[in-house]
Amino acid sequence: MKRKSARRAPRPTRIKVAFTQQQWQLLDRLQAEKRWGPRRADVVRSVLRDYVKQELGE
Amino acid sequence: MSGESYGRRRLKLVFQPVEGKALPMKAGEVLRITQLGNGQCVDFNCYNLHDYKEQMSVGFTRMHSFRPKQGDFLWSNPPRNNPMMAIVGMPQSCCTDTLHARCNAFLFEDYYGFGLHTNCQDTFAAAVGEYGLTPDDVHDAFNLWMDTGWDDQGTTYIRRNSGRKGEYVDLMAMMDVLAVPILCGSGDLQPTAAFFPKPIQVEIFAATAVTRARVGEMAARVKLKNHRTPADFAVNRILATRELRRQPGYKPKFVNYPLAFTSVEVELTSAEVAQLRRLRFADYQKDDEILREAVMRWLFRNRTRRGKLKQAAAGK
Repeated sequence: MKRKSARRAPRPTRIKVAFTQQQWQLLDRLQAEKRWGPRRADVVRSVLRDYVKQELGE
Repeated sequence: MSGESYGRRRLKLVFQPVEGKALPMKAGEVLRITQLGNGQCVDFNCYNLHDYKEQMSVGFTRMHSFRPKQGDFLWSNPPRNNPMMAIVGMPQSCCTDTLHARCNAFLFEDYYGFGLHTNCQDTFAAAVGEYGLTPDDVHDAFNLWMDTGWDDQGTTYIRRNSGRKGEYVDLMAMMDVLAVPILCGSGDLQPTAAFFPKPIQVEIFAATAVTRARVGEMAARVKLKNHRTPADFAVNRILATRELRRQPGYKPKFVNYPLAFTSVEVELTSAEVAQLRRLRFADYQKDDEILREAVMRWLFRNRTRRGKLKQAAAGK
């Protein structure tokens, strides 16, 4: 009898997104605030979450 | 600001239809424009007294408000971007206009077939000619007691002038200016003066220590690095000829050019991707485009003064 394989967590989707150096100036200010995450990718994701919360209430 | 802090009245004039006058003013002085009848539109131009190339920009002023009111500034043209006049007194019934530029002889010929009808362009030109300025130097006007709007089709309209006898507007000079108030020339044909032009009174009150201090406070509030002067210009010599000629060897210097684009890879859960797609701002957008737009919208809303004001106005 075959063993049922353990359910794997769904793989995250990776989205490659470009910003201009001027946009990064603003995002890097958020990074300096420390509360949006340590890396640029974390900042972008955190801001998206906050925007979703503001727009969709989720 | 209270009129009690103004200095002595140093000038009092009555403009008959359709007069106007260019009036030099020092920073801290106050120009008071008073309705002597019920409802007369007043057009206004303004130049830096020491450099006429810096002049009021109705376009830039409109970026702050379509209907500037008490507490707002009349701004100079980019790249100067200086507050030229502060609206320190204005009744709520005074509608202001930043849409209709100025009436001119062409319009009245086009609309009514007049060979020559009174009009703001020509009145301004006659007024500023006293200082050597030409009709080409007249610029779009900031209009007091002029209630304009536009409909869904983009057609502009003018509502009947709601001004009342005795109402006045106080404009404080934020720099040394040539202020040019004039009576609108369209008043006998249009609702701008309810189809009958009336005189207005113009007064100037001298600056005091209080008004000069107020100018300093207000200027400091809006002071930024990007108030440019001719010393900052790549080309700063004013052309002395009318014909335009290409300058050989000229190389434009664009700002932050070429723009650099740097990517980052963001990991989202399937639930987050679903939320992202619900945000889609336009049907052609891919996920990365939605993500970027959401982030930039958030930044505007939460990290700019104007975005926060919009949020507050929307009750969010």
